This record gives sequence, structure tokens and C-alpha cells, in this order.
Amino acid sequence: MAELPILPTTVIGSYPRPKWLREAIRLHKAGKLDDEEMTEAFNDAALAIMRDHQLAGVDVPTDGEVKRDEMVEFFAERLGGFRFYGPVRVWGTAYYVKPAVVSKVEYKSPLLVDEFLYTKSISYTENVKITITGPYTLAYWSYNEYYKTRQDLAYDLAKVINKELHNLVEAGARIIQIDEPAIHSTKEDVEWAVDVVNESLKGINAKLVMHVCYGDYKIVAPYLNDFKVDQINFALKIYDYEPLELFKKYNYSKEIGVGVIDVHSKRVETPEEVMKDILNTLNYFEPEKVWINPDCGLKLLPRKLAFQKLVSMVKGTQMAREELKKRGYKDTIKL
Amino acid sequence: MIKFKVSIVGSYPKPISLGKAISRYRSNKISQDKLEEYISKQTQKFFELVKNVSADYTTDGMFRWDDVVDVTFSYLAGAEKGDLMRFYDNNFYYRRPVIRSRLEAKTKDYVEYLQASKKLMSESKVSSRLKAVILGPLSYLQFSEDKYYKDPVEIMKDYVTETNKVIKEVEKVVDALEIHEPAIFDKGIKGDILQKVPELYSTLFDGIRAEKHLITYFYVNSRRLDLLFSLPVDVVGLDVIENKNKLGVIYKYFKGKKVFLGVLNTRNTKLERPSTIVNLARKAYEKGAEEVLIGNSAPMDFIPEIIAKRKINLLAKARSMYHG
Repeated sequence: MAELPILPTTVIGSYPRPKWLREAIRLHKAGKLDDEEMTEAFNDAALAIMRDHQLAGVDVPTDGEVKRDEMVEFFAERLGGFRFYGPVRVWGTAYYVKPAVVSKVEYKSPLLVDEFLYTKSISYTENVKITITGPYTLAYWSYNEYYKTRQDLAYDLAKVINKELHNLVEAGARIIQIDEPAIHSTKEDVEWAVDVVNESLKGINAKLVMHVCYGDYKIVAPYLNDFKVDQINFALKIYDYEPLELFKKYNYSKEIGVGVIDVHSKRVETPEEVMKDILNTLNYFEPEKVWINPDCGLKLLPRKLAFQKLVSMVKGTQMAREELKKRGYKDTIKL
Repeated sequence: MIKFKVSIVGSYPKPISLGKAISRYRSNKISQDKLEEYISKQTQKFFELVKNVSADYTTDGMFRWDDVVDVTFSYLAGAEKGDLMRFYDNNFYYRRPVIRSRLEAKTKDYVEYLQASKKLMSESKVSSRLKAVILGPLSYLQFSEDKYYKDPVEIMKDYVTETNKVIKEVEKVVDALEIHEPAIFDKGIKGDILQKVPELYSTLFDGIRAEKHLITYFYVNSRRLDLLFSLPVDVVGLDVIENKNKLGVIYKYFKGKKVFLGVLNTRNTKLERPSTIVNLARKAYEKGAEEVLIGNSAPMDFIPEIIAKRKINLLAKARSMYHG
């Protein structure tokens, strides 16, 4: 079984696209770059991001999701049953393309297998992570024109995601992260939303991680132990770690991925600050159950800043590991 | 047959071209004049749509603001823009006002913006009555973070007193006021705060003659309907399309009231049937409403522009179906 350093460091998934990739996408859309050239540009960008992760010293990297425009749009474009009407604002002048479900959702062909195989082939470690948007978030962040209820839509999406997860495991994926940032949006939904996520994970033999970020954790806290995943990672830095008390109150007992980097702030956290935050978390969780990550994807930061933040995260983790060594903990944990 | 009126509420989706122009302005890449050109162009386009559906009331589409909370920075000093906060259960976020000093009226900017909109309306030969959007005191309290006052009631008191000064100037420009108060249905608001709301509204509208439309949206808490219908406004607005299962209770309050029915769901792309819209309006009259206004249930930022346009056009279809 593979080993990782104690307090493994990872990313949530997305990373800023290199400027030249954005230009290549623009040229491709304008018909000035063919599909083959575009694929080459995407692969080159994945390589560059993987190298950034390696230089920063991240233990469990991704390809920065550089081949995906947006976490719902990417999947909706590749599944049957969706259509697009145009961009909507998410805040200020930030837009995204929110899809509409207009007929039964269908799995047409693998969504991420090619992306995973390429990422694996360029990775500096066998402990590479693949991320996928979960069924509840896909349902919540789409307009529902077809299904009677959001629950019906989410269950159908769970079946679709389950098929994809089986294909990813078959392709060799060993660490899979289900992104469910919408899971705590509506209190009335949470009970069935847990079942929906679990339905999507049925029969999947991999280390399963779930990502939850901004919002009211109180809504989902009582149900955290019910998700059939090995680990849940959270945005915590932005909340000054206050939710740790909440997790304690509900006896949350799985592994935790601790967000130690605020991805909405341009201030780079110092390694000392990261170390202090990690040691504080260890007052709530056994070190063997703690992974270290940013609060969320780093996509919206300038690339240079995203890299500096990752470097700080890794350095701060290394300092915390030294402290654990003094306390007599082993250097490594089993994956 | 009693005719219903059409009222366009809140914001219309900003096209991405305008979003880009605003971004460029904020990073000093284009001038204020250039930005105003973009805003005027978009507002004119919106007024054309308003004219096509012969709306009786409309806002100016609110293109210069990020959201309904952002508007408050144009008429009040004392708060600065804080963290991004989720706007109810939407994948849409606003900047929370962080109150750092006493709230104070600043009328100049807001009045000038409305004057510009009024002028554009006139140039576009739009005969609709222009509404100015104001955030309700309870919603302001719920959406902001207090770093100055220690008492929530004091925040609301200053808010209504200062906003009243703004409204006194605003009513010289516009025909009606559109007060957005979605927080009236929020969970967890203490009883002593709710008790103060009628008094606060009296202060907000003290000496104001313009028509007052109170708009609420999303979830309806039936237990707060007594409070909502007790407030000193001319028109009470409710999101009926998302609360069809509560219509039985809601209708009980309609007798002798002027009501605004949010009949176009601005959180889903599915188009409503004109017959559904007509039935909702007809039923409201049957239940004793003195006057019925219909329109979009909430700000339109949550749907793409093309869908917003199709939905607004449905209002004209519903009207011709109803009136023949």
C-alpha cells in the first residue's frame, strides 16, 4: 500500500490557467487553432501546472483542471439532457454558463478518463488526484426544466457519476475527490442529498474524498459521518477555523482536509501562520487523520500568487511535521 | 373585467459586454464617460423591451449596480464593501456592507443616476412609471455586518431616518419607490426587532408622497404575512410563482389591497404558461384584491438575458390573453 508523509499536502483541484492557454482558447474559438493544436496546448498547460505543484512540494497533485472551463459547465457539455442559454453572473462582473436540464440526463461517453490518463502519465507521483463535480451540486447549479423535483434530477445524475467513477477506477484512479460545494445550500435537502452522494459512490474502490466549501456548515454538520467517503476537506481558513468546534460537537470522525489558505485573499499566508493553524487543528483531530489543502481551488488567483501560497502551505506543513516528530509521531501514513 | 398592470421589478441581467466594461472601468482601463456610454446603451435597450410590453411600472434595469445591496452604497455613507456573501440559496453573491461609522444620507449620486435614467426613458418615449429601488431596513440589517452600532434596532433607526432624506430627493425624479424587503421572511429574526418594523417604515416614508411598492421574494413565511400587510405601503409584492402551495393562506390577505404578484420565476429558465399567469391574476381579483400588478418575482440576475427577455414578453402575451 502506498505511503504518504504525515499531514499530506494536496490541492482542491483548480489552478490558474497560464495566460498563453487563455490566448490559445480564444484562438481556437475563433477558428484560428485546430483541435489537435488545442489539445496540445491543454496538455502543455497540464504539464506546467504539474511542475508548479512539484516545485511547491505538493504530495497529492492534480493537473489544475486546466482543461475544464467551469465545474458544472464541463460536465453538462458532455452529458445528454442539458442545454445552454447563455452566461449568468455569480457576483460583480464574474459570469458562468449555467446549464439547463431539458430532458433525461444521460451518460454518453467517459468524461474524465482521458484527462486522468494524461495527468497520471505526467505526474511526479503515483498519488495523483482526480476531481469530479458531485451529483447534488450538478443538480443544484443547473436549471431544472424537465424533472419534477431537484431530487429526481440529482438521483439520475448520481447514476451518471457512478458510471464515470467506475471508468476512472478501471483506468487506475486511486484518489478521487467528489466536489459538493452546494451540499449545504438548502437545509431541507441535506438528508436526501447524502443518499444521492452515496448512490454515486456505490461500488467504487478508491480513496474517496469530498470537497465542501463556503456556506453554512451547520446545515450539513449533523450528517458528515453519513457520507461514504474516507475524507472531507473544508474551507476553514476563511472562517478562522471556527467550524472545528462544530465538527467536534457532531463527533465528525473521518479524515479531514484542512483549508489553510484563503483563496479569496491576495495576501500570502506565512509558513509560520500555516504551521500554527495546523497545530491548532491537531487539538481536534489525530494527526494521522489530517490532510492539508487550500480552502478551495486556486483558479481565480494570479498564477504567481497561487504558487507562492502553495509554497507557504507546504513549508508550514513541513514545520508542523517537525513538531509532530518531536511528539513521537511516525513520518508517514498509509494511503 | 378589471385590468391588471405590468410592473418590471429590480435588475435585468447584465450582458457580458457590460460586465467586461465595468471590469475595465474598475481597473482604470476606461474612463467614467465611456462606462456611462455602455450603461446608457444597455438601459436604452432595456427600455425598448419595457416599451414593447407596455409595462405600467419599471425600474431602470439597475445596470450600474452589482446587486440590490450594492445600491445602498450609492445613497448611504458609513459602510464599506466587505466579504462576498451568498444571496439566499442562489449561486449568486453580494458584497456585505460593513458598517464602520454612523450611517448618513448621500443623495447626490443616486439622484443623478435616476435623473439620467429618467432622461433616457423620455428619449426612448417610454411611458411607464419609473421606480427607484431602495433596500428595506430589515434586509439592510440582515445583509450587513455591524462594526459601529451595538444595537440592531439603532442601525435600522439610522437607516430609515437617513434613507428618508434620500427618498425626499429621489421622489422629485421618479414616480414610485420599490422597496426590496426579502428579509421580512428570514428565519431567526428576534421578535423585538420585528415589532419595530411598522414604526421604522413610518419613519422611512414620513412626508413621502410617491407610490410605495414593497417587494418580497423567494420563500414566503406565512406567519409574517400579518406584519407584511400591516406596513404603510401602497402595493404589497409577493413571489407567488415559487409559493403556489401557500396561495390559500396568501389570498386571505388580498381583500382591499393593491398587490404585486411575482409570476415569472427568475430562478428557472422554464417559461411560464401565459394561462398560468392569467389565472393567478384572475384569482387575486376574485379574492378581493383592489388592484393587481404582475411581473418578475425577483431580480433577474439569476437567469440568462435571453430567458429574461422571453419571460418579460410573456407578460404582454398574458395581458392580451386576459384582456382580449
